[in-house]
Amino acid sequence: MTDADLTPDAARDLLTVADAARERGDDISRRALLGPAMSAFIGLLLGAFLLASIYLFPTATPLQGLLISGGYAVGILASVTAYNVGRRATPTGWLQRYQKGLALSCGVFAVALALSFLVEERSAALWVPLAVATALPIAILGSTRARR
Amino acid sequence: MTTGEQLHPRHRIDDQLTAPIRLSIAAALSRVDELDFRTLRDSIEISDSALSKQIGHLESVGYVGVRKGYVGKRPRTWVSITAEGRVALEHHLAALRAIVDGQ
Repeated sequence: MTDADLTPDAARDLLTVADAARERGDDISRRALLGPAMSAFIGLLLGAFLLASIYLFPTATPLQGLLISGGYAVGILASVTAYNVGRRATPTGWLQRYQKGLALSCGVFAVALALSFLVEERSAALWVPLAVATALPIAILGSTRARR
Repeated sequence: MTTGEQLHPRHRIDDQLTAPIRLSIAAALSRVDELDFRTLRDSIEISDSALSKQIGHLESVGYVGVRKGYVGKRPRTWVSITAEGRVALEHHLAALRAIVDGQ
């Protein structure tokens, strides 16, 4: 096809082709759920690890501490591996949102962990909300979709 | 050629995107950051060789990027639209709309 024979009908046909392809791209993006699932799981692990640091580590034996840390590391590794193996598409802007969420969650985790050394308070009323606050940034940002 | 002729939307048509397959590839990629080759092939509904040829062409003009990697021992090819390709697609679609609207 050349410029000269690009009639309005031909142009309309090409627009239809482009719209259909963009819809398929949108559909693929909508079905790319591994990223959000991994984000939510890592958020859950971070929150759980914070609670373990507060309630389990102080009284755990070295072996128990190793098992908890190992379980956490295996969980992270397994979720990242599952994502890399199963990933077929990366929705627009997902990686940036995920990285921002991960940085925020790690930041909250670090602040909460530092706080645990400064205060004696160990009530669930303080630490469960902090664990949730640790998990939420990555879970939310990793599940958010780009605006069109 | 007069200024009026140069303003006609057909002059803004991007020859690299006039082929329906290339247009489909660029349009599908414009909705994601990255697609693997197999998913793009299934989406566009063409053969591996045809897709490979068209991606090679779009890559040569700088409209798409290709990244090759491995998942375990299996090779996997990732395709994405470049910023230049995204702009070219939008201009091309705008020109097509203008032709349809008779501008």
